[in-house]
Amino acid sequence: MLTFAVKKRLRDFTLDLSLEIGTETHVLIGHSGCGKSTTLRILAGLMDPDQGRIELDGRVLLDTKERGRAVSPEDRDVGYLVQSYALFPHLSVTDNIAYGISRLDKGERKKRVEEALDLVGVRPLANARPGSLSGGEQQRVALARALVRRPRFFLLDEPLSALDISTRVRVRGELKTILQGLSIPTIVVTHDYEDARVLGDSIAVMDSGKIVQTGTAEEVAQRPASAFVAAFTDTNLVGGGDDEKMAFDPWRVSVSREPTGGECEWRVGIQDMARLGAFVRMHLGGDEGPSLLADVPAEKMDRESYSLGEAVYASVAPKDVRFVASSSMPNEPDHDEKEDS
Amino acid sequence: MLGRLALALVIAIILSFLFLPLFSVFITMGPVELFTNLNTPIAYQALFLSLKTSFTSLVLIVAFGTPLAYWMSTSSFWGKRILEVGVQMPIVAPPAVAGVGLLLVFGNLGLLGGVFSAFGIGITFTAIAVVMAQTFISGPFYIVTARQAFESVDRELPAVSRTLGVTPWRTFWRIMVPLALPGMLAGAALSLARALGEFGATIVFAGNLPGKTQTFPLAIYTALQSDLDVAVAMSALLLLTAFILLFLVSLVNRRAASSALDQRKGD
Repeated sequence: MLTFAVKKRLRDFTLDLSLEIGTETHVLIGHSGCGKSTTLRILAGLMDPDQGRIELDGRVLLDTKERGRAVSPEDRDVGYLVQSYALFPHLSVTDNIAYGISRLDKGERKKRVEEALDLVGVRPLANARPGSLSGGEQQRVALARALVRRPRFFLLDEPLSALDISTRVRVRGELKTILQGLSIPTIVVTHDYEDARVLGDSIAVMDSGKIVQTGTAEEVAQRPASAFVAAFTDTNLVGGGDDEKMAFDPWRVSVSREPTGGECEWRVGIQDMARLGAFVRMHLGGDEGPSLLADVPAEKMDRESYSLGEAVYASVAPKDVRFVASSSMPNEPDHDEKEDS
Repeated sequence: MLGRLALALVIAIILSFLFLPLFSVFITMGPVELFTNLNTPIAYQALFLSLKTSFTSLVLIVAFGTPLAYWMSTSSFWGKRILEVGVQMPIVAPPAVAGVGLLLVFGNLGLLGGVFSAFGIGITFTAIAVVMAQTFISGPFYIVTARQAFESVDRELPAVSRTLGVTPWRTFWRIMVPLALPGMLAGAALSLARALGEFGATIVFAGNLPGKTQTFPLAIYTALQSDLDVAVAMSALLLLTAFILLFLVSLVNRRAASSALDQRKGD
């Protein structure tokens, strides 16, 4: 169990969050610069918060109220994976993995390194230098190097963002399998909702140093607490009544040139179109209507040949709309913070 | 066409100006003649003193300069810029001025000279003074190069090293030194070359006493007044040494550059 509450004044805002994480994978998702990576550095001990307390399985790693109560990074039993993987370029794959266990006796060291090589499946690369590895291979070696020490909690900073699209999906699946086998508190930081959905048992959406919503990936996508969260999960969130908002998925939206007379219909302009396999994702918006995402089937797109800038009607069937209790100030993070603390 | 001709001419002029004085030392004499002229007690004495003092300076520079270079590469504080410029001052300051400065501090009547003479240690006109002059003048070459070498190491590496249970001290030896080593070696070679050639600060602060403070460059200066051939022969030797050192630096740099390229290919 990892519990922490930290505050740190950053240049543009104050990082202020508290979380309690059991033996699960918790994803922190937010835009770059929202304080996610800073949070991990504080937990790893590489940076000091202005105020805070970190406790792992009953052991206090940091308490700013008690002077000198700060365990240094090398004694925190932390696994820390950085975005660039930071493999030591002058050491072979084997030596990279063995780097953190040089105190163990030779036999135990060899056994652990071999276990780690097999765990991430890089045994054939054991003697290679990091410079000759692909991004996916580097990630696996970095994972092995962190896990070979059997850390008591694991922090992963954007573990997939250095990979190209073609390897990303495969590596994400492998990473999920490894994380599931760990059963230690794990925090993954990402800016990608798909990564969060696949890897996270639960996720927390962060904005300007604060958590604006927590829940499972599905809960967050189904009932986004604010427009900010909705934008992350590609969910449409439209102001309905006074204290309610309507949430619905892009693939429930239908687009037509003529009004259908439905209950939920808006006149909007086509601002962008991107072809994603069997459908086209339209970004809709305009002066009169709200900003919406709509997934239009490819065959319909071919038939109707909509063009950029064209004004259309977007509608959604009432049965596909989820009503979300609207906070008085949807973008004010303070509201949701109460749920966490 | 005319433009290219003009460019070629300009380049030819500047290259001749730079190289001719250096080459002239070698063309005026054959190798045998060079050796005969070098084979004098005064030259040996000066050569031995130069080697002894220069390597002593180098050891001092590396021992004291490395921590400074590392500290400057990792910390940020108010006035760091000024400190960086200050550390480089001996590179551009006239060596004679450095000699005067050393005299003002460590001379028998200088700021600290009294302290040393109270313990019966006279610095001026001894080999100690030679080492101090060389260290002062050539130290910045090592410090600046080593600092840049430390700065070029990815900051994530020592951070990750610590999360892998390795203390800052051991991280320094296992990560920072191996990765900064090419730069440190280049800096050391530059410093050594500069120390071997040091003249101005040495003659002002340490004097020109054969056998005691007369280093190789000082011996060249003295020989110039009596026997030009000896001076030329000694110059040739000093130039050759400097060239070899500089060549080693460029080799190290090339290897460092190509291994850095290898690292990047992996991304």
